Amino acid sequence: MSFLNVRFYSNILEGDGEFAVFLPRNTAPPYKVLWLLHGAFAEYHESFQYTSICMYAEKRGMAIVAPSSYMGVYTDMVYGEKGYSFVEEVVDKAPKLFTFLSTERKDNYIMGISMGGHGSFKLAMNHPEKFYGACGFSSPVDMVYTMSLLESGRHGGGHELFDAFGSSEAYRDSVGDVVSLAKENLNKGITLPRLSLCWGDDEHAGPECSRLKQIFDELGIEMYSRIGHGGHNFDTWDPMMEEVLDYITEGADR
Amino acid sequence: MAIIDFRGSIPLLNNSTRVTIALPSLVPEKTDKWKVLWLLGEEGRSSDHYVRFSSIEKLSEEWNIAVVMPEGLHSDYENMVRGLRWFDYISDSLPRFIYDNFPVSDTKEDNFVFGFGMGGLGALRLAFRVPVFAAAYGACGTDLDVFAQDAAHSTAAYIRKLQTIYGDDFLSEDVLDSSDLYRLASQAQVIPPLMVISSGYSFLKLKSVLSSKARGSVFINSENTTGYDDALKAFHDMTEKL
Repeated sequence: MSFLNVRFYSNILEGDGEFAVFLPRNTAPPYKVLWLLHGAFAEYHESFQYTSICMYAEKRGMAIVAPSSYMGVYTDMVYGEKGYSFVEEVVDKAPKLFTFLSTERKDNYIMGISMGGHGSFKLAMNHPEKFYGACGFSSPVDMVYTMSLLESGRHGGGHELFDAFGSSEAYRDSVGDVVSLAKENLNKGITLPRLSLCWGDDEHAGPECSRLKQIFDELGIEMYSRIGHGGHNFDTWDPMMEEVLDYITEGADR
Repeated sequence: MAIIDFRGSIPLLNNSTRVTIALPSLVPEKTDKWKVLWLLGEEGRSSDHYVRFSSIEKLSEEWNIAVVMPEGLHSDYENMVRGLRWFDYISDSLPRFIYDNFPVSDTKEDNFVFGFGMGGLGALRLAFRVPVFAAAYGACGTDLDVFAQDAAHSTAAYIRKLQTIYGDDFLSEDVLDSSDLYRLASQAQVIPPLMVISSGYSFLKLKSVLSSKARGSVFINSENTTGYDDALKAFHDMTEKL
């Protein structure tokens, strides 16, 4: 097992960017890659500290690449950091820097925790040719809807969400409108990644998650979902990670 | 000698951040705590930037002083209207966190603040707002006149940055009174010992505002093309004479 911390000058951030690379033992390169996106106001280390994700990845011969996205909202903020372009930059740069990372679609998966799931679905819908699977845990994937909740006072988020996303109207049909991108991909006959969204039975993101599940069901988009027991925390997510990895990787090696 | 890479959330910032801390090898006795240099980061640079691009680890050892290096993204180390409370963090919760967890001295005489680029803004605002925090403060290569109305300060990207940090009314009297270095300097009752290494009109203007009341301060008219170490050594020499 190896764990690398990489810092580089990011032209997107106009400053230092950072990501971690975990490499599995007993597997020969090129490695499958799990791109791992952390939640809001955190950095990559929380995903490693509070889950057994390295063990789950190693069992499957997967490397992990985890960027620290500033503020962690996976958006080029109206006021603030360019969090989405930065993650795109890492997805582009990491395999060039580390040629042991496979760039084949069948070997690439993206996982997001909480707000990270907005990032993972956003990346997956903008680059369906890059990812075989994409998943989120307790994620407000459809931020257009989440912003509309915020605007009508039905969401607990703060003003920082306005600073980041502007408004539901401004975000609609943008590079971050996951639902409209999903429809567009469907219309063009583009194969979507295998999708999963799981959440807890006692948490604030539940209604946003189940609404997305319903929308995707109606569109005929297959998405594995399970409501685990617990709140918006790693206790709830970690026990569901292996079944989700099994689902999003299913059929990749055929 | 130890280099500590801290990552986590510190009160008042409410966001994960990184702090790199250099500790000299001569461990202080229980009653004898290390002096500490707060070395504020340049814009966008990570907390380990000075470890990578200067000799700070060696200088920390040579001067037997702990060095605490926080990062500050694109914040000007200010309490941002659209963002985090960086000034509260560097002036309050970060020092408390460090004093509580490491054997460093919290007495004014043992504390020094220095910053390059954006870090110098944080250092000078600390000097003018909280002169009791440290024995001396310094800035090098800092854009001192952030609210200037010239071409360099009028690009769309720069205006957006000002709006992000200081709000849409970034030229209002309230904002200028609380954040403009020249106003802070002229309003300050007490000016602690300063070192300012910079050049051009904005530098001369600050020097003239401070000239009558900044005794013991050093103004070096220089583009500082010689890098981090020379400026840090000049600052250290100044603090030795206090």
